Amino acid sequence: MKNRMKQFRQENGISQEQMAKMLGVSRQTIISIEKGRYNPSLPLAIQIARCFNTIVEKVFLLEDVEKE
Amino acid sequence: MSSKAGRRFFLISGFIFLFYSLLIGFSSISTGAFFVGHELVFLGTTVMSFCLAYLYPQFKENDERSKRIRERGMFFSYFFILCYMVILMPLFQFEIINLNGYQTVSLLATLTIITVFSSFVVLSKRY
Repeated sequence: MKNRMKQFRQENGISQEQMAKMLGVSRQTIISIEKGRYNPSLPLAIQIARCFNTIVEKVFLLEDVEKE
Repeated sequence: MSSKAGRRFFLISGFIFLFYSLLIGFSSISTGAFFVGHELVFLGTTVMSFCLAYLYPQFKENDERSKRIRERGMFFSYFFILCYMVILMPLFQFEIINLNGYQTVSLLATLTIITVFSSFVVLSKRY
């Protein structure tokens, strides 16, 4: 799953540290999500989207399922 | 405790444990009783302290990522610990190594501590 969290965060002028505090997670969690190493749970994804006043689908992009 | 303070605390305790493990290791070598067992446990505790120094800022928040790291770490460690036992059993059976009960328990405890905490570090890099 790809995400545009970094882009949204920078557009809103929020630092990784501030974002981590807003979500109640560690800064490393924000870094991991932005780099695509860690996919957040649905509640956390919704919280992230709410921080940017948008919907989950705009922040997180589901990649096409590989064809068999 | 802040991230920096927590990290410093674990680093200092890591160096203290390192000093103790070296001291006890050298003393058991000099008395010709190497290895007794407890020097290995000190070595394991040293590794644990250094790993916790690295992991503290991440585990402090206790968020879903840190829970996932712990969960996966325990899962992988379970298989590693089983492997250690599978390897140790024939070594004892065919008398390739001879260890007493205290040494065996110390060895397994050390391997368990090192495996669990190093797997947390590896998984924190992955996730």
